[in-house]
Amino acid sequence: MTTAQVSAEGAYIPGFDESSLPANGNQPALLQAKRAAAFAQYCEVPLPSARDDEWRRTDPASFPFERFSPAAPLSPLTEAPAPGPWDSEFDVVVSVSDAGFHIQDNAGLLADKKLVVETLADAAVRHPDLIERYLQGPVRVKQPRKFSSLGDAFWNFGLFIYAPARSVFTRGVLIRYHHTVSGQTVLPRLLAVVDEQAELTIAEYYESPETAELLAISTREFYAGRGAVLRAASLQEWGARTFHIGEDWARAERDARVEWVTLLLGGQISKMMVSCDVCESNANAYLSGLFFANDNQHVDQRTLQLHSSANTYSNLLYKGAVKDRGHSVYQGIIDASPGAIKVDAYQMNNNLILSEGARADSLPGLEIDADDLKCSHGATFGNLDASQLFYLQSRGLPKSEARQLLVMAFFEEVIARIPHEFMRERVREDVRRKCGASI
Amino acid sequence: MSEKTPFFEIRNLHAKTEDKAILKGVNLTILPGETHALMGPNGSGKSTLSNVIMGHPAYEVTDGEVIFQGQNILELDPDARARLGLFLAFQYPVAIPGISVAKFLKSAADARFGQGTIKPAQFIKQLREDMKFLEMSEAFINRFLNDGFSGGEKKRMEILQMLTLKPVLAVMDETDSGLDIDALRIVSKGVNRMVGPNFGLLVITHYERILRYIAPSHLHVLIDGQVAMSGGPDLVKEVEKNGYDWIREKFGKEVLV
Amino acid sequence: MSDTDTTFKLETDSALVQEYKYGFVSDVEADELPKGLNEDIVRAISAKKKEPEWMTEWRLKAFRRWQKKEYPRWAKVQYPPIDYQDIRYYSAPKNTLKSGGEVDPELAKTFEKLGIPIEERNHLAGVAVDAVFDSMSIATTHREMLAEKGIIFCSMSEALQHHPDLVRKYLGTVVPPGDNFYAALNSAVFSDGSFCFIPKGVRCPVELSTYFRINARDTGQFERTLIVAEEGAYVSYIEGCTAPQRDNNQLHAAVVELIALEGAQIKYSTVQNWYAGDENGQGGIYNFVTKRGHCRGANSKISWTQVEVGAAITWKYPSVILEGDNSVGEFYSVAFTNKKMQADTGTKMVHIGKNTSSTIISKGISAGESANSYRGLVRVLPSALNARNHTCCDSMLIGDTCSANTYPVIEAETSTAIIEHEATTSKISEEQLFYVQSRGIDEESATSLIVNGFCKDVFKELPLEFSVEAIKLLELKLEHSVG
Repeated sequence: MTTAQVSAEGAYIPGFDESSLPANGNQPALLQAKRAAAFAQYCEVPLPSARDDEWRRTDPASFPFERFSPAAPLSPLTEAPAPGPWDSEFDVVVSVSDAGFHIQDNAGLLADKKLVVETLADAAVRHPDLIERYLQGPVRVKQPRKFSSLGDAFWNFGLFIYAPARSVFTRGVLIRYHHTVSGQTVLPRLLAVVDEQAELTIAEYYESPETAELLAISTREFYAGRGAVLRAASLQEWGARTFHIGEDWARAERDARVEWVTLLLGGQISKMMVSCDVCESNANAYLSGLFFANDNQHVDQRTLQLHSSANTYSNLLYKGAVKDRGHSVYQGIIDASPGAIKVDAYQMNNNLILSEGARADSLPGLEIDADDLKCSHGATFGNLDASQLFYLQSRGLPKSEARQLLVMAFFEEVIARIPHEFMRERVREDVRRKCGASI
Repeated sequence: MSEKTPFFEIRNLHAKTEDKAILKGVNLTILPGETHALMGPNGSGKSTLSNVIMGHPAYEVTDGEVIFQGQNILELDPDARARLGLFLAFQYPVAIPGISVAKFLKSAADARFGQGTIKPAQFIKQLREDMKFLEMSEAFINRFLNDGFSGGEKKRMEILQMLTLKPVLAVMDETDSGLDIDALRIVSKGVNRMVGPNFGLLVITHYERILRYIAPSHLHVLIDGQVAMSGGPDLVKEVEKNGYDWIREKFGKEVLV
Repeated sequence: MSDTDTTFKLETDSALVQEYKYGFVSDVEADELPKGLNEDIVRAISAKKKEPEWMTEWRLKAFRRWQKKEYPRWAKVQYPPIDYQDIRYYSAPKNTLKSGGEVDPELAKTFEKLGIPIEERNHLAGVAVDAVFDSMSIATTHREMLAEKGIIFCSMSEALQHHPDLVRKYLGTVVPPGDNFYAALNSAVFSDGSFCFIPKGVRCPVELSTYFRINARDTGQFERTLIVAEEGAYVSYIEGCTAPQRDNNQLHAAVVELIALEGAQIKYSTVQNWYAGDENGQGGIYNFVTKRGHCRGANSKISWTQVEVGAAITWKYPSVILEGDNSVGEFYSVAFTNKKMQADTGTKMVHIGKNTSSTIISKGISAGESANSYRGLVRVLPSALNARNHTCCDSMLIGDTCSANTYPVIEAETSTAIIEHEATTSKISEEQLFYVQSRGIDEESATSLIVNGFCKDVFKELPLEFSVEAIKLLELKLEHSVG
């Protein structure tokens, strides 16, 4: 990477220079140091451009950065916010809004110190060793990336979740993001560590009003220790004028299992990256995605299934639909490092094109540097199956209802991988709504 | 024969697919309470006929009409035909992974009888009874439609749908093909429950076996896109007395195997 | 299989002294231009070819475009920067004909040794051959028989002299002079190549074939092939290539353009066996080629079949622009890499017309320390209603020091299209190897058998005799790549 030619000023994303870094006095020294390191990296990485392979289909210039300014760091709310409909399903609920954040300990797990859910600032004081080890840690397997570094340096709300060794939380943690103020960039940051043989489920939900024009830049890091099970699901239901750039990283150690579902339904332009490193023997990753771009929505997702070790497994299924003038991009890479033998990696991207004017691109890639393994990928494109449609119609279902049912059926395989029934139902509703009457 | 409002009548039906003419003037009338058997060699147009009756988009009707419940249904979408009470039991039912049997049947029943007409609890109760009657495991309710079903299971699912949707005219497209004797008995049991004075049935078959279970009142032989022979109870009686061999001799052994 | 079980371990790191039987050098007196590239050289090449004025201008324009272009960096191949001033752009045998019109015996001997008899008495039945030696076409066989049918099959130089209007009408209409860095370079300096013209309604009765031979040191080969099939015409064209074994790299930057008018069919088959360099990556041909077909008329069809077993670096994407309604594009490829070879090859299928369909079958085999990448584009434009594509890319790895990459891009802009892409990468099947070996066949032969099976879907697309040759060639290449 050549950085010499890029002047420091030229490498800034509008709104994110030295002056917009959170003030040092307000945070522990450990976080100051982490932010400083991230900022240095952020300056070094050249600005992404439409000439880069990764950004060719989603021009960075299509994000109106100059119209947004970074949101101020969030403080705890003095009063508990109104409960959400799903809160009771979880052990811990974190609500995040423009006014502040609130951590609700439904089952007394935090009080008993059985589970840790706290801000990064608190964690840097209470669990400095864990923060030192994991924040911006070994999950970052490839070259530094502009928006990961930006998120690391500038996050305005940072959360740390830690499940100690051998603890099991199947109800887990819900994080609700609800942002309404136009003109700002929100920068949520999440670090989740599931220690040896522990089990934890994390659900995230993003929403904003249809009319709010805002930008979210999110960075998440997930660690599954030896024999751990980590289930994560994020449902993005931003309003139609919200922009989102997200870079997420996961790492599964020996015998660990990561089940990760990304549901992209809202927003105007979303550019997301998911990277999962199955880095030790017998580590498993199940990556699932559902996206639906209608109206003028643009969804661009990049996935990396990194097999940095032998005897590792990954299975990816991303299903998407496009309609109206929607445009979706799926870019996936299976990367088997030298020596990564006995690897079994699979990647499938199915696309439904529901109307003329819509467009779907798929770039499923394989980069294989080891020999004794099995990697495969597939991509399909098409409209709904004509014989299935006829079958449903022959049973009396009107065409539009039959089509809607088939769209639901198409997505069901991914929906079934969502850990919570209420979220599955919510996604079905979203899909139904996006199909509309005219499908 | 009521000439004013024919119940179900195919008049001079011509149809083609991909520029190949398949039906070349089919005529056939079914009255309520009648069970018609349609036989014919492979390629004679039997399945095309059933698909055209239901409105499969791959076939183009070039001439003729299909009158059902007093109107020419050829202009109607398949779902409108179904809501009128027409039912096709498919020769090869498609699998639709992602839609459960329960969800599918409820949607279809709502379409046929009107949203909210059937209470969910009542619907499930009836469905369970019907499944028991067809000797099907209740586990099928939550399985995806026809997904991973055996041939016999798929055919029973077709009959279950028929019982649920209570059509007034059903076309069975080689429903008996590939069934063992036990499955054939169950399928026939389901069909015979439908048979009555207000129900018409067209059984398309390749085997005389099923006709021992579902007694036809009329017989037709389709050859090269046209009905080559047609008869009512007299013909059926003759067949009962003398068997099918003479039909085989007259129209080639492929008519019935 | 446990890690300690090495019964089936394939070793590729043993000394791979694999004989390249076409590595000899012919002693032929050459007529050469000095090394280097500038407008004068371009003019000189044009003058040597006695080209019309418009052609000289065409070349100069391309040269100026080339000067402004950057070489493509996106491919997964690595090589030191090429010094374009250190290459000779024109070298031709001085005396191609002896007195009396016979082909110079040294040249005839060269092609004889390559299995390509060019003397009239030894002509291959069923194949008309245009033999190209460095920058010049030496001989074209079966010409009279072809001429009777109105088929033109001659060297590009002759075509420019005898059929300038036809050449002018079609040249550069599929691959424009400024298409890419290497295409621009080729357009400026191309020396020879073949021109085929199949008139309306004619089915070419024999396979047309060009055999390319690089002989001279430090010389690039820049051939240009143009095939035009008029309405309803059919032609099957075969291309073969070899070069001497030399320890420096030589550049081969060809452009091939195919044009199929309404109802026409062009079948283009290549067996590429350029010298690939030695086991240390020393020497070998840089094969940077732009090949593109244009299904211009309705119901036309263009098929590319390639067996790529040579060259140090291959950079090549035979493509089809499917403009005519109902047109069909096909790409069948076997790419074998060994030692330090690098291949980045694949295809582009651009669907524009209605009911267009394309099929892509790519089989990559990597051995030694080689890198083998499939790169493909399937683009379905909004106008391409009911377009169909099926793509299958399989990679086989022999040994643990090679790499296999797959980089497909699929763009779908109509809801009426159906596109299916599948790809797998795996080691040669141990179960199959074991099964075959258990029947008494040694490991090397077993590997060869299995690899042949792996490539069967591509080999069956080659003209019969050529297919036999390709299988033999791949067998030869596989020798010593197994432990």
